[in-house]
Amino acid sequence: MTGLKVALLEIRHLSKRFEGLAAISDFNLEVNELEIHGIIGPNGAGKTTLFNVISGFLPATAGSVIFKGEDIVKLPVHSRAKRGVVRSFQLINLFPELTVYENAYVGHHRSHKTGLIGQFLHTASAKEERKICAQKTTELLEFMGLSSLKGELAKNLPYGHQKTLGICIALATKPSLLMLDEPVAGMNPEETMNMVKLIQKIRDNNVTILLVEHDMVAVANLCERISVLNYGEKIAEGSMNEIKGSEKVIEAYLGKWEEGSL
Amino acid sequence: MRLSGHLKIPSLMLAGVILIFLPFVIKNQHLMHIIILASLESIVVMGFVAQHNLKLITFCTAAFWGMGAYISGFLSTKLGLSFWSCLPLAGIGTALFAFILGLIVIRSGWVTFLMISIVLGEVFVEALGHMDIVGGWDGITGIPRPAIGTFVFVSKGAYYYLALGLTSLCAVIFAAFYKSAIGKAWTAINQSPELAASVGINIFKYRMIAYVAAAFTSGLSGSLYAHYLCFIAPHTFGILRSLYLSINAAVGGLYFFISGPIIGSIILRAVPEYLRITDKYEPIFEGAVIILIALFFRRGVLGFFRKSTLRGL
Repeated sequence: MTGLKVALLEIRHLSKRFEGLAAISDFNLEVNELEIHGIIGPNGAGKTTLFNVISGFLPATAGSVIFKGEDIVKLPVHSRAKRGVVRSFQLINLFPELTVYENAYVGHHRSHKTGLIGQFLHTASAKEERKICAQKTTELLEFMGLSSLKGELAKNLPYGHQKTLGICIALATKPSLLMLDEPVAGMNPEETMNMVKLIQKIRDNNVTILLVEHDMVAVANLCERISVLNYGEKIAEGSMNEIKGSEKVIEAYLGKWEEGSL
Repeated sequence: MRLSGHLKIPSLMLAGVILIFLPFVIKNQHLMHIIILASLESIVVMGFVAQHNLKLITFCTAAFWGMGAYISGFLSTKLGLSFWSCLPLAGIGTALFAFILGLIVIRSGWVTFLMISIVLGEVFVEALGHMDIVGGWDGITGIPRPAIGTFVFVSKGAYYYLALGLTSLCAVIFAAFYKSAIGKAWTAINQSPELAASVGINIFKYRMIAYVAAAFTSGLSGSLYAHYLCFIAPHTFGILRSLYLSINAAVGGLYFFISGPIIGSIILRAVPEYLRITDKYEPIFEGAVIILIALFFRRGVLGFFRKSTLRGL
Protein backbone atom coordinates (compact mmCIF):
# COMPACT_ATOMS: atom_id res chain seq x y z
CA MET A 1 0.00 0.00 0.00
CA THR A 2 1.30 3.43 -0.88
CA GLY A 3 -0.34 5.05 2.10
CA LEU A 4 -1.68 7.98 0.15
CA LYS A 5 -5.04 6.61 -0.97
CA VAL A 6 -6.42 3.56 0.73
CA ALA A 7 -8.30 1.12 -1.43
CA LEU A 8 -11.57 -0.18 0.04
CA LEU A 9 -11.28 -3.43 -1.86
CA GLU A 10 -8.02 -4.88 -3.01
CA ILE A 11 -7.85 -8.05 -5.04
CA ARG A 12 -4.43 -9.63 -5.40
CA HIS A 13 -3.41 -12.43 -7.73
CA LEU A 14 -6.90 -13.94 -7.62
CA SER A 15 -7.39 -17.16 -9.55
CA LYS A 16 -10.36 -19.45 -10.00
CA ARG A 17 -10.08 -22.75 -11.82
CA PHE A 18 -12.84 -25.19 -12.69
CA GLU A 19 -11.05 -28.53 -13.07
CA GLY A 20 -8.23 -27.19 -15.12
CA LEU A 21 -10.21 -24.50 -16.90
CA ALA A 22 -9.00 -21.12 -15.74
CA ALA A 23 -12.05 -18.90 -15.29
CA ILE A 24 -10.00 -16.15 -13.66
CA SER A 25 -6.24 -16.00 -13.64
CA ASP A 26 -3.98 -13.69 -11.67
CA PHE A 27 -6.56 -10.94 -11.39
CA ASN A 28 -5.64 -7.73 -9.61
CA LEU A 29 -7.97 -4.90 -8.81
CA GLU A 30 -8.21 -1.93 -6.50
CA VAL A 31 -11.51 -0.22 -5.82
CA ASN A 32 -11.20 3.09 -4.03
CA GLU A 33 -13.67 4.40 -1.52
CA LEU A 34 -16.79 6.00 -3.05
CA GLU A 35 -15.79 5.08 -6.57
CA ILE A 36 -18.09 3.52 -9.15
CA HIS A 37 -15.96 0.87 -10.75
CA GLY A 38 -17.17 -1.08 -13.77
CA ILE A 39 -16.12 -4.48 -14.99
CA ILE A 40 -16.84 -5.16 -18.62
CA GLY A 41 -15.88 -7.84 -21.06
CA PRO A 42 -17.31 -10.12 -23.74
CA ASN A 43 -19.62 -13.00 -22.81
CA GLY A 44 -17.83 -15.74 -20.94
CA ALA A 45 -15.00 -13.47 -19.88
CA GLY A 46 -15.44 -14.52 -16.24
CA LYS A 47 -17.23 -11.45 -14.89
CA THR A 48 -19.95 -13.29 -13.01
CA THR A 49 -17.44 -15.84 -11.73
CA LEU A 50 -15.36 -12.96 -10.42
CA PHE A 51 -18.42 -11.61 -8.62
CA ASN A 52 -19.18 -15.01 -7.14
CA VAL A 53 -15.64 -15.34 -5.85
CA ILE A 54 -15.55 -11.85 -4.33
CA SER A 55 -18.92 -12.35 -2.59
CA GLY A 56 -18.03 -15.85 -1.44
CA PHE A 57 -20.47 -17.98 -3.43
CA LEU A 58 -17.50 -19.73 -5.04
CA PRO A 59 -14.21 -20.47 -3.29
CA ALA A 60 -11.10 -18.93 -4.82
CA THR A 61 -8.35 -21.23 -6.04
CA ALA A 62 -5.61 -18.79 -5.11
CA GLY A 63 -5.03 -15.17 -4.22
CA SER A 64 -6.60 -12.81 -1.76
CA VAL A 65 -9.55 -10.44 -1.46
CA ILE A 66 -8.68 -7.70 0.98
CA PHE A 67 -11.54 -5.58 2.24
CA LYS A 68 -10.78 -2.69 4.60
CA GLY A 69 -7.37 -4.23 5.22
CA GLU A 70 -8.71 -7.68 6.12
CA ASP A 71 -8.37 -10.75 3.92
CA ILE A 72 -11.92 -12.09 3.49
CA VAL A 73 -11.17 -14.68 0.82
CA LYS A 74 -11.90 -17.65 3.11
CA LEU A 75 -15.01 -16.27 4.82
CA PRO A 76 -18.53 -17.61 4.13
CA VAL A 77 -21.07 -15.43 2.30
CA HIS A 78 -22.92 -14.18 5.37
CA SER A 79 -19.70 -13.15 7.15
CA ARG A 80 -18.66 -11.09 4.14
CA ALA A 81 -22.10 -9.48 4.15
CA LYS A 82 -21.61 -8.64 7.83
CA ARG A 83 -18.38 -6.87 6.97
CA GLY A 84 -20.15 -4.84 4.29
CA VAL A 85 -19.55 -6.66 1.01
CA VAL A 86 -23.00 -7.24 -0.45
CA ARG A 87 -24.07 -8.16 -3.94
CA SER A 88 -27.22 -8.14 -5.99
CA PHE A 89 -27.96 -10.97 -8.34
CA GLN A 90 -28.67 -11.08 -12.02
CA LEU A 91 -31.63 -13.45 -11.74
CA ILE A 92 -32.48 -14.67 -8.23
CA ASN A 93 -32.68 -11.20 -6.79
CA LEU A 94 -35.71 -11.24 -4.50
CA PHE A 95 -37.92 -13.28 -2.17
CA PRO A 96 -40.81 -14.01 -4.57
CA GLU A 97 -43.67 -14.81 -2.16
CA LEU A 98 -43.02 -11.87 0.15
CA THR A 99 -44.28 -8.35 -0.33
CA VAL A 100 -41.99 -5.53 -1.41
CA TYR A 101 -42.03 -4.24 2.15
CA GLU A 102 -41.13 -7.62 3.62
CA ASN A 103 -38.35 -8.06 1.07
CA ALA A 104 -36.76 -4.81 2.17
CA TYR A 105 -37.40 -5.63 5.84
CA VAL A 106 -35.56 -8.94 5.59
CA GLY A 107 -32.61 -7.07 4.11
CA HIS A 108 -32.29 -5.28 7.44
CA HIS A 109 -31.48 -8.57 9.18
CA ARG A 110 -28.08 -7.27 10.25
CA SER A 111 -29.67 -4.40 12.17
CA HIS A 112 -31.00 -6.84 14.78
CA LYS A 113 -28.41 -6.61 17.51
CA THR A 114 -30.34 -8.34 20.29
CA GLY A 115 -29.22 -11.91 20.90
CA LEU A 116 -31.25 -14.91 19.80
CA ILE A 117 -32.69 -15.50 23.25
CA GLY A 118 -33.75 -11.86 23.53
CA GLN A 119 -35.49 -12.10 20.19
CA PHE A 120 -37.16 -15.36 21.16
CA LEU A 121 -38.43 -13.80 24.40
CA HIS A 122 -39.53 -10.63 22.56
CA THR A 123 -37.72 -8.41 25.03
CA ALA A 124 -38.25 -4.65 25.01
CA SER A 125 -35.01 -4.09 23.11
CA ALA A 126 -35.98 -6.67 20.47
CA LYS A 127 -39.33 -4.94 19.99
CA GLU A 128 -37.65 -1.57 19.81
CA GLU A 129 -35.27 -2.88 17.16
CA ARG A 130 -38.13 -4.21 15.10
CA LYS A 131 -39.74 -0.79 15.24
CA ILE A 132 -36.51 0.85 14.09
CA CYS A 133 -36.18 -1.72 11.31
CA ALA A 134 -39.70 -0.99 10.15
CA GLN A 135 -38.89 2.73 10.15
CA LYS A 136 -35.68 2.17 8.17
CA THR A 137 -37.52 -0.08 5.72
CA THR A 138 -40.09 2.62 5.03
CA GLU A 139 -37.35 5.20 4.51
CA LEU A 140 -35.41 2.93 2.19
CA LEU A 141 -38.46 2.17 0.06
CA GLU A 142 -39.03 5.91 -0.18
CA PHE A 143 -35.43 6.42 -1.28
CA MET A 144 -35.69 3.69 -3.91
CA GLY A 145 -39.02 4.95 -5.19
CA LEU A 146 -40.84 1.75 -4.29
CA SER A 147 -43.16 3.10 -1.58
CA SER A 148 -46.28 2.90 -3.69
CA LEU A 149 -45.68 -0.80 -4.34
CA LYS A 150 -44.93 -1.91 -0.81
CA GLY A 151 -47.93 -4.23 -0.49
CA GLU A 152 -47.36 -6.05 -3.77
CA LEU A 153 -45.87 -9.54 -3.85
CA ALA A 154 -42.37 -9.32 -5.27
CA LYS A 155 -43.08 -11.95 -7.91
CA ASN A 156 -45.90 -9.82 -9.36
CA LEU A 157 -43.75 -6.73 -9.96
CA PRO A 158 -42.76 -5.64 -13.45
CA TYR A 159 -39.19 -6.48 -14.42
CA GLY A 160 -37.67 -3.05 -13.87
CA HIS A 161 -39.10 -2.80 -10.38
CA GLN A 162 -37.89 -6.29 -9.55
CA LYS A 163 -34.38 -5.18 -10.43
CA THR A 164 -34.75 -2.10 -8.25
CA LEU A 165 -36.06 -4.22 -5.39
CA GLY A 166 -33.07 -6.56 -5.72
CA ILE A 167 -30.77 -3.60 -5.22
CA CYS A 168 -33.00 -2.33 -2.42
CA ILE A 169 -32.55 -5.61 -0.50
CA ALA A 170 -28.79 -5.43 -0.90
CA LEU A 171 -28.80 -1.78 0.17
CA ALA A 172 -30.83 -2.58 3.29
CA THR A 173 -27.81 -4.38 4.71
CA LYS A 174 -25.95 -1.03 4.80
CA PRO A 175 -23.05 -2.21 2.69
CA SER A 176 -19.78 -0.32 2.27
CA LEU A 177 -19.27 -2.08 -1.04
CA LEU A 178 -22.29 -2.82 -3.19
CA MET A 179 -21.72 -5.23 -6.05
CA LEU A 180 -24.25 -5.02 -8.85
CA ASP A 181 -24.48 -7.83 -11.38
CA GLU A 182 -25.83 -6.35 -14.64
CA PRO A 183 -28.20 -3.84 -13.04
CA VAL A 184 -29.64 -2.54 -16.31
CA ALA A 185 -29.71 -5.77 -18.33
CA GLY A 186 -32.94 -6.09 -20.29
CA MET A 187 -34.10 -2.53 -19.58
CA ASN A 188 -35.27 -0.02 -22.15
CA PRO A 189 -33.33 3.28 -22.53
CA GLU A 190 -35.63 5.18 -20.18
CA GLU A 191 -35.47 2.54 -17.46
CA THR A 192 -31.71 2.41 -17.95
CA MET A 193 -31.32 6.13 -17.35
CA ASN A 194 -33.51 5.91 -14.22
CA MET A 195 -31.33 3.11 -12.91
CA VAL A 196 -28.17 5.10 -13.69
CA LYS A 197 -29.53 8.02 -11.68
CA LEU A 198 -30.47 5.69 -8.84
CA ILE A 199 -27.00 4.14 -8.72
CA GLN A 200 -25.43 7.60 -8.61
CA LYS A 201 -27.79 8.52 -5.80
CA ILE A 202 -26.72 5.41 -3.89
CA ARG A 203 -23.06 6.32 -4.30
CA ASP A 204 -23.78 9.82 -3.05
CA ASN A 205 -25.05 8.14 0.12
CA ASN A 206 -21.55 6.83 0.84
CA VAL A 207 -21.64 3.44 -0.85
CA THR A 208 -18.79 2.27 -3.06
CA ILE A 209 -20.04 0.46 -6.12
CA LEU A 210 -18.53 -2.32 -8.20
CA LEU A 211 -20.63 -3.33 -11.16
CA VAL A 212 -20.64 -5.74 -14.04
CA GLU A 213 -22.51 -4.49 -17.09
CA HIS A 214 -22.86 -5.00 -20.82
CA ASP A 215 -24.74 -1.79 -21.51
CA MET A 216 -22.04 0.66 -22.60
CA VAL A 217 -24.29 3.68 -22.25
CA ALA A 218 -24.82 2.90 -18.59
CA VAL A 219 -21.15 2.11 -18.06
CA ALA A 220 -20.03 5.34 -19.78
CA ASN A 221 -22.45 7.37 -17.68
CA LEU A 222 -21.64 5.74 -14.38
CA CYS A 223 -18.15 4.45 -14.05
CA GLU A 224 -15.12 6.54 -13.19
CA ARG A 225 -12.86 3.60 -13.83
CA ILE A 226 -13.40 0.48 -15.85
CA SER A 227 -11.62 -2.86 -15.90
CA VAL A 228 -11.89 -4.97 -19.02
CA LEU A 229 -11.88 -8.70 -18.56
CA ASN A 230 -11.23 -11.25 -21.29
CA TYR A 231 -10.70 -14.99 -20.80
CA GLY A 232 -10.35 -14.39 -17.09
CA GLU A 233 -7.57 -11.87 -17.41
CA LYS A 234 -7.61 -8.14 -17.04
CA ILE A 235 -6.57 -6.65 -20.35
CA ALA A 236 -7.14 -2.98 -19.63
CA GLU A 237 -8.05 -0.55 -16.89
CA GLY A 238 -8.82 3.12 -16.93
CA SER A 239 -11.47 5.67 -17.75
CA MET A 240 -13.89 5.08 -20.64
CA ASN A 241 -11.79 7.23 -22.94
CA GLU A 242 -8.61 5.44 -22.01
CA ILE A 243 -9.91 1.95 -22.63
CA LYS A 244 -11.78 2.92 -25.79
CA GLY A 245 -8.44 3.45 -27.50
CA SER A 246 -6.86 0.26 -26.24
CA GLU A 247 -6.06 -2.16 -29.03
CA LYS A 248 -6.47 -5.16 -26.77
CA VAL A 249 -10.00 -4.10 -25.87
CA ILE A 250 -11.01 -3.59 -29.48
CA GLU A 251 -9.51 -6.95 -30.27
CA ALA A 252 -11.43 -8.65 -27.48
CA TYR A 253 -14.74 -7.24 -28.62
CA LEU A 254 -14.32 -7.21 -32.39
CA GLY A 255 -11.62 -9.77 -33.06
CA LYS A 256 -8.16 -9.20 -34.43
CA TRP A 257 -7.86 -7.25 -37.64
CA GLU A 258 -5.11 -8.72 -39.73
CA GLU A 259 -3.63 -7.55 -42.94
CA GLY A 260 -5.44 -9.31 -45.77
CA SER A 261 -8.04 -11.01 -43.64
CA LEU A 262 -10.81 -9.85 -45.89
CA MET B 1 -55.76 -11.38 3.26
CA ARG B 2 -55.47 -12.52 6.83
CA LEU B 3 -57.47 -12.50 10.00
CA SER B 4 -57.52 -8.87 10.97
CA GLY B 5 -55.85 -7.89 14.23
CA HIS B 6 -58.94 -6.93 16.19
CA LEU B 7 -60.59 -10.30 15.51
CA LYS B 8 -57.58 -12.36 16.43
CA ILE B 9 -57.59 -12.00 20.20
CA PRO B 10 -61.34 -12.63 20.74
CA SER B 11 -61.24 -15.65 18.44
CA LEU B 12 -58.24 -17.04 20.29
CA MET B 13 -60.04 -16.50 23.61
CA LEU B 14 -63.14 -18.22 22.31
CA ALA B 15 -61.04 -21.19 21.19
CA GLY B 16 -59.42 -21.22 24.63
CA VAL B 17 -62.75 -21.31 26.43
CA ILE B 18 -64.03 -24.12 24.19
CA LEU B 19 -60.86 -26.12 24.75
CA ILE B 20 -61.01 -25.67 28.51
CA PHE B 21 -64.61 -26.85 28.78
CA LEU B 22 -64.31 -29.63 26.22
CA PRO B 23 -63.99 -32.51 28.74
CA PHE B 24 -67.29 -31.46 30.33
CA VAL B 25 -69.04 -31.80 27.00
CA ILE B 26 -67.41 -34.92 25.62
CA LYS B 27 -68.32 -37.95 27.69
CA ASN B 28 -66.96 -40.46 25.22
CA GLN B 29 -63.67 -41.69 26.71
CA HIS B 30 -62.40 -43.04 23.43
CA LEU B 31 -62.86 -39.69 21.75
CA MET B 32 -60.91 -38.04 24.56
CA HIS B 33 -58.14 -40.57 23.97
CA ILE B 34 -58.03 -39.61 20.30
CA ILE B 35 -57.89 -35.93 21.15
CA ILE B 36 -55.02 -36.45 23.59
CA LEU B 37 -53.00 -38.43 21.06
CA ALA B 38 -53.75 -35.93 18.30
CA SER B 39 -52.59 -33.09 20.50
CA LEU B 40 -49.33 -34.88 21.34
CA GLU B 41 -48.76 -35.65 17.68
CA SER B 42 -49.50 -32.09 16.67
CA ILE B 43 -46.50 -30.94 18.75
CA VAL B 44 -44.20 -33.26 16.81
CA VAL B 45 -45.76 -32.11 13.54
CA MET B 46 -45.11 -28.45 14.45
CA GLY B 47 -41.44 -29.41 14.58
CA PHE B 48 -41.69 -31.16 11.22
CA VAL B 49 -43.31 -28.13 9.63
CA ALA B 50 -40.67 -25.78 11.05
CA GLN B 51 -37.92 -27.93 9.59
CA HIS B 52 -39.74 -28.31 6.28
CA ASN B 53 -40.01 -24.54 6.07
CA LEU B 54 -36.21 -24.43 6.09
CA LYS B 55 -35.94 -27.16 3.46
CA LEU B 56 -34.89 -29.70 6.05
CA ILE B 57 -37.08 -32.64 5.12
CA THR B 58 -36.80 -35.26 7.78
CA PHE B 59 -38.08 -38.75 8.40
CA CYS B 60 -36.86 -39.15 11.93
CA THR B 61 -39.53 -36.99 13.56
CA ALA B 62 -40.89 -40.09 15.29
CA ALA B 63 -37.38 -41.02 16.43
CA PHE B 64 -37.05 -37.67 18.25
CA TRP B 65 -40.48 -38.25 19.72
CA GLY B 66 -39.41 -41.72 20.81
CA MET B 67 -36.20 -40.39 22.24
CA GLY B 68 -38.17 -38.13 24.53
CA ALA B 69 -40.43 -41.03 25.47
CA TYR B 70 -37.52 -43.34 26.19
CA ILE B 71 -35.51 -40.79 28.17
CA SER B 72 -38.61 -40.19 30.27
CA GLY B 73 -39.47 -43.88 30.55
CA PHE B 74 -35.94 -44.80 31.52
CA LEU B 75 -35.47 -42.05 34.08
CA SER B 76 -38.81 -42.71 35.75
CA THR B 77 -38.67 -46.52 35.91
CA LYS B 78 -34.95 -47.04 36.59
CA LEU B 79 -34.06 -43.93 38.54
CA GLY B 80 -37.45 -43.21 40.06
CA LEU B 81 -37.67 -39.61 38.90
CA SER B 82 -41.12 -38.01 38.82
CA PHE B 83 -42.86 -36.98 35.60
CA TRP B 84 -42.19 -33.32 36.40
CA SER B 85 -38.43 -33.86 36.38
CA CYS B 86 -38.55 -36.28 33.45
CA LEU B 87 -40.49 -33.90 31.19
CA PRO B 88 -37.86 -31.14 30.91
CA LEU B 89 -35.01 -33.67 30.92
CA ALA B 90 -36.61 -35.50 27.98
CA GLY B 91 -36.84 -32.21 26.06
CA ILE B 92 -33.31 -31.12 26.90
CA GLY B 93 -31.83 -34.57 26.23
CA THR B 94 -33.45 -34.80 22.81
CA ALA B 95 -32.43 -31.23 21.98
CA LEU B 96 -28.84 -31.93 22.97
CA PHE B 97 -28.76 -35.02 20.79
CA ALA B 98 -30.20 -33.02 17.88
CA PHE B 99 -27.63 -30.28 18.38
CA ILE B 100 -24.70 -32.70 18.15
CA LEU B 101 -26.25 -34.54 15.22
CA GLY B 102 -27.12 -31.24 13.55
CA LEU B 103 -23.48 -30.16 13.53
CA ILE B 104 -22.92 -32.99 11.07
CA VAL B 105 -26.13 -33.33 9.07
CA ILE B 106 -27.44 -29.79 8.59
CA ARG B 107 -24.61 -28.61 6.38
CA SER B 108 -24.74 -31.69 4.21
CA GLY B 109 -27.41 -30.61 1.72
CA TRP B 110 -31.03 -31.65 1.73
CA VAL B 111 -30.71 -35.02 -0.04
CA THR B 112 -28.05 -36.26 2.35
CA PHE B 113 -30.04 -34.80 5.24
CA LEU B 114 -33.12 -36.72 4.14
CA MET B 115 -31.18 -39.96 3.64
CA ILE B 116 -29.47 -39.71 7.02
CA SER B 117 -32.81 -39.03 8.69
CA ILE B 118 -34.28 -42.20 7.17
CA VAL B 119 -31.30 -44.27 8.30
CA LEU B 120 -31.44 -42.69 11.72
CA GLY B 121 -35.15 -43.39 12.03
CA GLU B 122 -34.53 -47.08 11.42
CA VAL B 123 -31.34 -47.34 13.47
CA PHE B 124 -33.15 -45.78 16.42
CA VAL B 125 -35.77 -48.54 16.46
CA GLU B 126 -33.22 -51.32 15.91
CA ALA B 127 -30.90 -49.97 18.58
CA LEU B 128 -33.69 -49.78 21.16
CA GLY B 129 -34.79 -53.29 20.25
CA HIS B 130 -31.35 -54.62 21.10
CA MET B 131 -30.81 -52.66 24.29
CA ASP B 132 -31.79 -54.76 27.29
CA ILE B 133 -31.53 -51.82 29.65
CA VAL B 134 -34.62 -50.27 28.03
CA GLY B 135 -36.45 -53.58 27.70
CA GLY B 136 -35.45 -54.56 24.17
CA TRP B 137 -38.31 -55.25 21.78
CA ASP B 138 -40.74 -55.55 24.68
CA GLY B 139 -40.20 -51.90 25.57
CA ILE B 140 -40.66 -50.27 28.94
CA THR B 141 -43.73 -51.07 31.00
CA GLY B 142 -45.07 -49.63 34.21
CA ILE B 143 -44.11 -46.03 33.56
CA PRO B 144 -45.57 -44.11 36.51
CA ARG B 145 -48.42 -41.69 35.99
CA PRO B 146 -47.89 -38.00 36.70
CA ALA B 147 -49.00 -36.82 40.12
CA ILE B 148 -49.37 -33.57 42.01
CA GLY B 149 -49.17 -34.28 45.72
CA THR B 150 -51.71 -37.01 46.28
CA PHE B 151 -53.61 -36.35 43.05
CA VAL B 152 -52.63 -38.84 40.37
CA PHE B 153 -53.47 -38.24 36.71
CA VAL B 154 -55.56 -41.24 35.74
CA SER B 155 -58.68 -40.09 33.94
CA LYS B 156 -58.71 -39.03 30.32
CA GLY B 157 -60.00 -35.65 31.39
CA ALA B 158 -57.00 -35.03 33.63
CA TYR B 159 -54.58 -36.06 30.91
CA TYR B 160 -56.45 -33.87 28.46
CA TYR B 161 -55.47 -30.80 30.46
CA LEU B 162 -51.85 -31.90 30.59
CA ALA B 163 -51.83 -32.42 26.84
CA LEU B 164 -53.61 -29.11 26.26
CA GLY B 165 -51.11 -27.31 28.46
CA LEU B 166 -48.12 -28.87 26.74
CA THR B 167 -49.49 -28.25 23.26
CA SER B 168 -50.20 -24.63 24.14
CA LEU B 169 -46.69 -24.25 25.53
CA CYS B 170 -45.14 -25.64 22.35
CA ALA B 171 -47.45 -23.53 20.18
CA VAL B 172 -46.32 -20.45 22.11
CA ILE B 173 -42.66 -21.45 21.70
CA PHE B 174 -43.04 -21.78 17.94
CA ALA B 175 -45.19 -18.66 17.65
CA ALA B 176 -42.49 -16.71 19.52
CA PHE B 177 -39.98 -17.90 16.96
CA TYR B 178 -42.11 -17.15 13.90
CA LYS B 179 -43.04 -13.68 15.14
CA SER B 180 -39.46 -12.68 15.97
CA ALA B 181 -36.57 -11.70 13.72
CA ILE B 182 -35.62 -15.38 13.81
CA GLY B 183 -38.86 -16.25 12.01
CA LYS B 184 -38.20 -13.55 9.42
CA ALA B 185 -34.81 -15.10 8.76
CA TRP B 186 -36.49 -18.52 8.45
CA THR B 187 -38.88 -17.15 5.86
CA ALA B 188 -36.01 -15.58 3.94
CA ILE B 189 -34.16 -18.91 3.87
CA ASN B 190 -37.33 -20.65 2.72
CA GLN B 191 -37.67 -18.20 -0.15
CA SER B 192 -34.08 -18.08 -1.33
CA PRO B 193 -31.14 -19.44 0.66
CA GLU B 194 -28.61 -17.69 -1.59
CA LEU B 195 -30.18 -14.28 -1.24
CA ALA B 196 -30.66 -14.84 2.50
CA ALA B 197 -26.95 -15.56 2.88
CA SER B 198 -26.06 -12.53 0.85
CA VAL B 199 -27.92 -10.21 3.23
CA GLY B 200 -25.93 -11.66 6.11
CA ILE B 201 -28.19 -14.46 7.37
CA ASN B 202 -26.21 -17.41 8.69
CA ILE B 203 -28.21 -20.24 7.16
CA PHE B 204 -26.61 -22.98 9.23
CA LYS B 205 -27.34 -21.19 12.47
CA TYR B 206 -30.99 -20.56 11.69
CA ARG B 207 -31.52 -24.12 10.48
CA MET B 208 -29.92 -25.37 13.66
CA ILE B 209 -32.33 -23.29 15.76
CA ALA B 210 -35.33 -24.91 14.06
CA TYR B 211 -33.78 -28.36 14.27
CA VAL B 212 -33.06 -28.09 17.98
CA ALA B 213 -36.41 -26.44 18.76
CA ALA B 214 -38.21 -29.26 16.94
CA ALA B 215 -36.24 -31.85 18.89
CA PHE B 216 -36.92 -30.12 22.19
CA THR B 217 -40.67 -29.92 21.72
CA SER B 218 -40.84 -33.45 20.28
CA GLY B 219 -38.97 -34.65 23.35
CA LEU B 220 -41.51 -32.96 25.64
CA SER B 221 -44.37 -34.52 23.71
CA GLY B 222 -42.70 -37.94 23.83
CA SER B 223 -42.33 -37.69 27.57
CA LEU B 224 -46.01 -37.06 28.14
CA TYR B 225 -46.84 -39.81 25.65
CA ALA B 226 -44.81 -42.28 27.71
CA HIS B 227 -46.42 -41.21 30.98
CA TYR B 228 -49.87 -41.31 29.40
CA LEU B 229 -49.79 -44.81 27.92
CA CYS B 230 -47.45 -46.06 30.70
CA PHE B 231 -45.97 -48.37 28.12
CA ILE B 232 -43.66 -47.73 25.18
CA ALA B 233 -42.08 -50.05 22.62
CA PRO B 234 -39.56 -49.38 19.83
CA HIS B 235 -41.88 -50.05 16.91
CA THR B 236 -44.14 -47.13 17.79
CA PHE B 237 -41.40 -44.72 16.76
CA GLY B 238 -40.34 -46.21 13.44
CA ILE B 239 -40.06 -44.59 10.08
CA LEU B 240 -43.67 -45.41 9.19
CA ARG B 241 -44.84 -43.25 12.11
CA SER B 242 -42.63 -40.44 10.82
CA LEU B 243 -44.27 -40.79 7.44
CA TYR B 244 -47.75 -40.61 8.99
CA LEU B 245 -46.72 -37.52 10.93
CA SER B 246 -45.55 -35.83 7.74
CA ILE B 247 -48.96 -36.60 6.23
CA ASN B 248 -50.57 -34.86 9.20
CA ALA B 249 -48.49 -31.82 8.28
CA ALA B 250 -49.47 -31.92 4.62
CA VAL B 251 -53.17 -32.36 5.40
CA GLY B 252 -53.21 -29.36 7.74
CA GLY B 253 -51.17 -27.24 5.36
CA LEU B 254 -47.40 -27.07 5.37
CA TYR B 255 -47.34 -23.29 5.52
CA PHE B 256 -49.71 -22.99 8.45
CA PHE B 257 -47.07 -23.42 11.03
CA ILE B 258 -49.16 -23.96 14.14
CA SER B 259 -52.80 -24.34 13.14
CA GLY B 260 -51.84 -26.71 10.30
CA PRO B 261 -50.25 -29.38 12.50
CA ILE B 262 -53.14 -29.20 14.99
CA ILE B 263 -55.90 -29.48 12.39
CA GLY B 264 -54.01 -32.10 10.38
CA SER B 265 -53.33 -34.26 13.42
CA ILE B 266 -56.94 -34.13 14.58
CA ILE B 267 -58.25 -35.05 11.14
CA LEU B 268 -55.87 -37.93 10.64
CA ARG B 269 -56.43 -39.30 14.14
CA ALA B 270 -60.21 -39.01 13.99
CA VAL B 271 -61.05 -40.01 10.42
CA PRO B 272 -59.56 -43.53 10.47
CA GLU B 273 -61.20 -44.16 13.85
CA TYR B 274 -64.64 -43.18 12.65
CA LEU B 275 -64.32 -44.88 9.30
CA ARG B 276 -63.44 -47.97 11.32
CA ILE B 277 -60.23 -48.45 9.42
CA THR B 278 -58.16 -51.05 11.20
CA ASP B 279 -54.37 -51.23 11.25
CA LYS B 280 -54.41 -53.53 8.27
CA TYR B 281 -55.98 -50.95 5.99
CA GLU B 282 -54.37 -47.87 7.50
CA PRO B 283 -51.43 -47.75 5.06
CA ILE B 284 -53.86 -47.93 2.15
CA PHE B 285 -55.94 -45.13 3.61
CA GLU B 286 -52.87 -42.97 4.26
CA GLY B 287 -51.63 -43.67 0.75
CA ALA B 288 -54.93 -42.53 -0.72
CA VAL B 289 -54.75 -39.37 1.42
CA ILE B 290 -51.26 -38.56 0.10
CA ILE B 291 -52.40 -38.93 -3.49
CA LEU B 292 -55.48 -36.76 -2.91
CA ILE B 293 -53.43 -34.03 -1.27
CA ALA B 294 -50.80 -34.08 -3.98
CA LEU B 295 -53.48 -33.79 -6.64
CA PHE B 296 -56.05 -31.44 -5.16
CA PHE B 297 -55.04 -29.83 -1.86
CA ARG B 298 -51.52 -28.63 -2.24
CA ARG B 299 -51.95 -26.08 0.52
CA GLY B 300 -53.70 -28.45 2.88
CA VAL B 301 -57.13 -28.12 4.47
CA LEU B 302 -56.39 -24.65 5.84
CA GLY B 303 -55.21 -23.49 2.44
CA PHE B 304 -58.87 -23.68 1.43
CA PHE B 305 -59.94 -21.00 3.84
CA ARG B 306 -56.96 -18.72 3.82
CA LYS B 307 -54.83 -17.75 0.88
CA SER B 308 -51.94 -16.19 2.67
CA THR B 309 -49.07 -18.56 3.29
CA LEU B 310 -45.78 -17.91 5.03
CA ARG B 311 -47.35 -15.33 7.29
CA GLY B 312 -50.12 -17.48 8.76
CA LEU B 313 -49.52 -19.40 11.93
